[in-house]
Amino acid sequence: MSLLRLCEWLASTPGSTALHESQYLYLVVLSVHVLTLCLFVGTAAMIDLRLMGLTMQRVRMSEVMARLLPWSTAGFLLMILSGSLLFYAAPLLRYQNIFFRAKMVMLVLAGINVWVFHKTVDRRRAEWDSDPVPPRGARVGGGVALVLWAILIMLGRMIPYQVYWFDCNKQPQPAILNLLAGCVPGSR
Amino acid sequence: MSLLDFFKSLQYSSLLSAMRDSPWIFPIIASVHLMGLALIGGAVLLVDLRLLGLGMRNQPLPQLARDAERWLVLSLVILLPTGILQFMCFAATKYYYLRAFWVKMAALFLALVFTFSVRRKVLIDGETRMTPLRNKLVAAVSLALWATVAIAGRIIGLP
Repeated sequence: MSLLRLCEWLASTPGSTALHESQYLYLVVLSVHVLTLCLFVGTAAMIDLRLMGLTMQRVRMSEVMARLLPWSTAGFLLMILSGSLLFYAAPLLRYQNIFFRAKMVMLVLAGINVWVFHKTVDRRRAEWDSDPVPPRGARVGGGVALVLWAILIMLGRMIPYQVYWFDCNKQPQPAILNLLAGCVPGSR
Repeated sequence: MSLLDFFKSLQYSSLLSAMRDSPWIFPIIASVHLMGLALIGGAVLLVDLRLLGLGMRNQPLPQLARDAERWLVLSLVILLPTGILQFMCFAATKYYYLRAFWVKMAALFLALVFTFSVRRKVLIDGETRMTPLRNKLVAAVSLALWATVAIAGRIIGLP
């Protein structure tokens, strides 16, 4: 089953229509998604800033991770849950949105960044746990994460603004836009 | 000049008229505002969770407070100008009539006053003169005020 078929099937389920057309529920989910930024990116940013040696220099890295990561993880799960619902409310609209697609790419990159960090410099954390300024690898990992979250926030905010740029349903559009957005003219 | 006239002069200033000509400037400013929201969330939670006996609970309070305050101030430096620009975009036609906007302004004023007076004093004093109950009360008031600011802000943006 292609991704497009999956989106079409999701859009055809009653729950998707109900969420899309709901008076308040959609806006509540959207608001939860936005405000969870404080919990998820807020605590993640503090961990990243510590990795960069820019804050809590006298606190061991392990301590920062142990105390803040559970909050960050909880925020992340809430983000994924609310974000999935926002996707479920309009699967085809998201499928054909360049900003949404770019946001998902950034999310994958953020995941790879975390994975690389854990596989490399974090393996030797015992050696630099108490250093006020962690080694280069950790600083780069923290910095890359911060930049990725900032881009992710911006791309997410831009999702509803694609219509001011172009509309997949109003063809012809430049071939590159049709390709990047995966335009399926005639769908909604 | 009435308040509404003042808001009108902001909204229809040449700077703002130029800004509204592009559909992209508003969401870009809003995005930066959201980055500030994330940062202030981290800076406030770092200390308030500690006051509640959660999060960084082994760290001395004054030290943690100094670490967090720098990021709190930076987040305000991001949030206030981007917030003012968003407000100016629709000051007279939207914000003036919106209760959520006035609730947000009142809560923001209280949150700033509380953060830089009572909460700051409590943090600098450290644990010595503070009982856990009073720590928790300060954290609860701080979180409640900032949550009001954030939720009212979210309501401003709803259709």
